[in-house]
Amino acid sequence: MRYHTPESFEDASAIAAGAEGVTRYLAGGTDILVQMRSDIVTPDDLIDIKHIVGVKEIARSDDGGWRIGAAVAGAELGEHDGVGADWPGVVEAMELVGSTQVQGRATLTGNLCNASPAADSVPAMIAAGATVSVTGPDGPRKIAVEDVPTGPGQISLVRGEVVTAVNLPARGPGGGDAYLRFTPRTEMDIAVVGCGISLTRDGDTITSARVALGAVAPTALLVEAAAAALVGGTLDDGALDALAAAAEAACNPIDDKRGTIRFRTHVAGVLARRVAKIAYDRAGGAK
Amino acid sequence: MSHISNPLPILDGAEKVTGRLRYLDDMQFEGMAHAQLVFSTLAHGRIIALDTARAMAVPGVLAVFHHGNTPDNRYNSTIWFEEQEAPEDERMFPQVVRHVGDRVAAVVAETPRIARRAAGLIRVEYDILPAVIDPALALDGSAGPDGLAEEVRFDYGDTDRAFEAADLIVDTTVSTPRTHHGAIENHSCVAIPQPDGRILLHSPCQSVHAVQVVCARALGVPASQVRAVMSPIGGSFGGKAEPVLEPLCAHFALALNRPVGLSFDRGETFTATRTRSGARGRVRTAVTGDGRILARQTDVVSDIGAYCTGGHFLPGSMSQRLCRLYDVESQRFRGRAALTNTVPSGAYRGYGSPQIHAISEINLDLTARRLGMDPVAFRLKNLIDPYAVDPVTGGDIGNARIRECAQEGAARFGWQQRRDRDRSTGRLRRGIGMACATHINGCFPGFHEATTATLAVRNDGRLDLTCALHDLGCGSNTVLAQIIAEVLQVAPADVVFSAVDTDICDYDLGTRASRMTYICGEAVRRTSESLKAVLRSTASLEFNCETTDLCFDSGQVICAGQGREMTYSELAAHAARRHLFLTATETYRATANPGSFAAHFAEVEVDTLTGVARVVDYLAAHDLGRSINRQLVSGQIHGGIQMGIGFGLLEDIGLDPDTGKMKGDRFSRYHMVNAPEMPKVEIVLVERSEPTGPFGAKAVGELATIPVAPAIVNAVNDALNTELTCLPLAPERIAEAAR
Repeated sequence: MRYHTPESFEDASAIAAGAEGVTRYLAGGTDILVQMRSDIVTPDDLIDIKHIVGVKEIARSDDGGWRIGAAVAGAELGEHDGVGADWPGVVEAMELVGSTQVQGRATLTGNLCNASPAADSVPAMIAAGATVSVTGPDGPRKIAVEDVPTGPGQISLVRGEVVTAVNLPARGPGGGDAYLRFTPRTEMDIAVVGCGISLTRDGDTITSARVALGAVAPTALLVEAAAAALVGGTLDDGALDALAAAAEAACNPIDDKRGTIRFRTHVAGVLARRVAKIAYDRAGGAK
Repeated sequence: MSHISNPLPILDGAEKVTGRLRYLDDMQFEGMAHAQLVFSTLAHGRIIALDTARAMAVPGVLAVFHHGNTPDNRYNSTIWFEEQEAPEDERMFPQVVRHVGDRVAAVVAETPRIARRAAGLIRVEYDILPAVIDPALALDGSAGPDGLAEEVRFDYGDTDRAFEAADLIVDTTVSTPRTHHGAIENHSCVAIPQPDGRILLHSPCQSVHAVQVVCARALGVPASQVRAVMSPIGGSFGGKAEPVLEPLCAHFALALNRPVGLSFDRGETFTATRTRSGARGRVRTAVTGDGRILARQTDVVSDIGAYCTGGHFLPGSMSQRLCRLYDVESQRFRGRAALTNTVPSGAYRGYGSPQIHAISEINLDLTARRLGMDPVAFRLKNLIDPYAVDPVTGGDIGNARIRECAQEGAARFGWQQRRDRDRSTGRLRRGIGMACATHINGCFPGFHEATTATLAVRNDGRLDLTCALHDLGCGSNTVLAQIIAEVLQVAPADVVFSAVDTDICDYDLGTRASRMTYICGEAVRRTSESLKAVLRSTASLEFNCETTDLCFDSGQVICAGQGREMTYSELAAHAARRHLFLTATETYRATANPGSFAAHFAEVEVDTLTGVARVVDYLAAHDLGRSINRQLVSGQIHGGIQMGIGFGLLEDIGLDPDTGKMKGDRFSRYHMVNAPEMPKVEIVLVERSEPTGPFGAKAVGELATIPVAPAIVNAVNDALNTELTCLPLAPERIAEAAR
C-alpha cells in the first residue's frame, strides 16, 4: 500500500487519477481504517487529505452560506456557533454519528462518501439543499448531495475526483431545519429510519420545503411529494397527515434484523411529522 | 475495625481502569503460532470434501486441522470433574456439522492474518441434511430423530382437584429470546507444550479443573497431562463456563510442538460459542377469588441448540426455582430440552432462572389483573415464609425474606401512589410493574459442593491464600479478602491470591451457581478461623501466656496483659525457629442451599407510535442475608438490571427460521442496553442474616438480573393494557400492539 500526503486537492486528484488499483481517501478514517483493519478493503493507494491547507476550516461563503472543509470533524462542527445557528438540523444529524471519540475524527464528507443508506448527516444535508465541491481531472464542479450516493457503498464521483468541501446555502429569513432518526436505543446505534426537513415560513405559511428520508431505500431520498404536502399550508393536521402519507409512500426499505419493511415505513411517517414540527417552530424563531 | 459491609473498591480496579492489566489476547508468547477456525455455513450437513490445498500453499501456514486428521474422542464440555456422566456429543471437528458456526477446520499459521486469509481459501462440500430450527418440531419427531435431550418432571399435591376447585384459571404462554453474553473480552486461549510432554493451557475460564478434564477427555490423555491456568478475564456471565477453544488449541500445540494461540472475534463469539437458551413456557395458575394460588401447571420447552453443552441442565434448574418462591399446595411441572440445528446454549447468568421467572411472573401479573388485585398484594398473599421446605427436594430455603423485599420495596418505590395516578391516553403512556425472584446459593445437594483453601502467613506478614478462586470481574476476590481481613484483622490488600492453577490449587467447582460468596466465602472464613487458632497457640508460646489473653488487631497479635505485641511477620520468623509454620487448610462442605430473593419494581414510558419503551425509574429490593461489600453489591445489581432490560426489551440473536443463520451476530444488529437507557436505580437491602452463610451473607450476582425482564414487561402491559408475552418487547412488537 502506498500512503500519500498531498498538499493540495489538485495533487490528491492527480494521484488518484494516476492510480490503478484500489484507491481510498483518508480524512477522519472512522470508516476506512476500520475496513482496512478487518480486511474489508485493502487500498493500493491511500491518499491522506488532512495535510491540505484549509481542509479543516469552516468558512462563510460569498453567498452567505457555509463552506465546511472535507476534514472538519463532527465535534468541531458541533461547536461552531454560526453553522449551528443557521443549520441546527445538519449539525445535530452529524453529531448523532458514532461516539464521542468517533466525533473527534468523523466528517460530513466521509459520512456522505461512505454511502451508507443510513448515514445520519445525509438526509439533513439533502433537506438543507447542500452541495459538495469536487476537484477532478476535468476541473472543479459542484454536485447536489442527493446526487452523490448511487447505492449502498457506491457514489457518483469518477476516478480522480475528490470532495473538497460541503457547501450549505444561505439560510435566509424565516428558515428552519431539523433531523431525527429512529434507533431502538439512544446512543451508539444506526438509523432504522432518518428524516431531515428544511422549510421557510412567511408568517405562519410555509413557502418552501425540502423533505429527505434515510435508511428506507438504497440511498437517502429527496421526497418531493412530502415537501409539496407542506408548502402553502400552516402545518395543520391535514398537512401533517399528507406529509406522513407521502413519506410512507416513498419508502422502499429492506427487511432486516433492525427493522421490517412495515415498521420502517410506519416510523418514516411518525418521524416526518415530528421533524416538520421542529423545523416549523425553528423557522418561526424557536430555539 | 470491621471490614464487613464496607464499600471497598474492587482490588484490581486500578489495574483495569488504567489499562495496565494484560488480558490473554494482549500477551505474546515466544514462538507462538496462531489458529483461525473455519465454520459451517450450513445448519446441518455432512462434509464430503474438504479442499485444504490452497490454504496449505499460503506461505506461513503450518497446518490445517479438520475431522480427517484430529482425534475422534467424544466429549462433553460441561463436565467439571472426572467420571462425571454427560452425553458425549462433541468432538474437536465433527464430520456432520450441526449448526451454522459449527467447527469445520482450523488453520494454524505464523500470524493471525495469514491464518485468517488461508482459512478463507478452504473449500468445503457438504451433503445437505434436513435442519430443525424450531424446537417444537425437534420434539414432535416430525423432523427426524428424537430431539429430546432431557426431560424433568415433578408432581406434588392433588393438582387436578385444585384446578377443579379453582375460581379462576389463568393460562399464558411466554417466550424468551436466545441471547448473547456480551462480555467485553471475547473467547481466547493459549496452549504451550511443556518439556515433559504435558500441555499448559492459559485460559480466561470459570474453572481450571473443568478445562483440565474436558481437554484430557478430548485429547484422550490422563488429566495429569493437562495443566490449566486462569488468565485475567474480561467478563464471562457464563459464556466461558465451558471450554470451547481449549481442547482444540491444546491439540494444535501438541501436534505442532509449538505454543498456539486461538482468539475469537465478536462475530465468532456470537455464532460459535454459547448463548442463553430460548424458552417457551405455558403456565396455568389456579386461584381462589381472593387471590390464593391453589395449584400451578408449568410446561417449558428450552431450545438448547445443537449440543448438550449445558442447556440439557435447564429443565432441572428451572424446576427448582418454581418451588422456592411461592407457597403453592400442588404443582405439576414438565421441562424439556430440545436439540435443534442452532448455535448451542450453555451457562448464562441465572442458568434458566431468567427464563422461568419471565414465564411465571408474567403469568402471575396477568392473574392478578384478572382477579382485579394489586400485583403486590396478590404476591404477598402467596410468597414463601422463612425456612419453608421445598416440596420437591425436601431442603429448606433458609432465612428467606422475600416478603420484606416486596413490602419494603413497594413502600420505598411509592407503588401505591404510582398505581393511583391517572393514566395518560396520549402518545406517551406510563406503566408500573414488579416481579419477584429467587436463586440458589451453590450446587448443594448436587455434585460435591466443597471448597478447600489454604492460608499461610508470609515472611512479610501478608497472607497467602491458595485456592482455585476464579474472579470473573465481579469482585469475588475483594469480597473474600474482606472476609479474611475481618477474621484475621489485616488489610484486605494484604491477602495475596495464588495463581488459579491446576498444579497449585486443590480441586474446586469453579465460579458458577452463585457459590463464590456463600460457599467459597464460608470456606475462607473457616480457614481464617483455623489460621487464627494457629496464630493464637504459636503466640501463646512466644508470649508465654494463655491463648485467651491474646487479641488481634492491624496485623498484630497483642498480649494486653503484658503490654506486648508482635506483628504476624515477627511471629512467623519466631515460629520458623521452632520449626512451626503459620498455615491452615480447611475443606468446607456445604450443608444447605438457601435461596436468595429479590423484588424489583419498574416504571416505564412507552411511545405508542414508535413502540419504544424506556425504563424511567427502578427499584431493586434484595434479600442477600448480609452484604460483605455494599459497593460491589450495588455494582452487581446495576449490571443485572442493565442485562435484564436488554433481555426484556431488545436483545435477540435473531435466528432465521429457515436457515438457522444468526441475524443478530454483531453489535450493530444486536442491541445491548447502554448508559442512556439506564434508569435511576434505587436499592433496598434486606439484611436479616443467613445462618449458614459467611457473616450471614448470601449471593446477589446472578439473582440481580432475574426479575428485571418480567418486571419491565409487566410495566409495559400495565401501560398499554396489553398482554404481551413474546420477549423481547422490541419497538416493532410494541408498536404493532399499540396500533
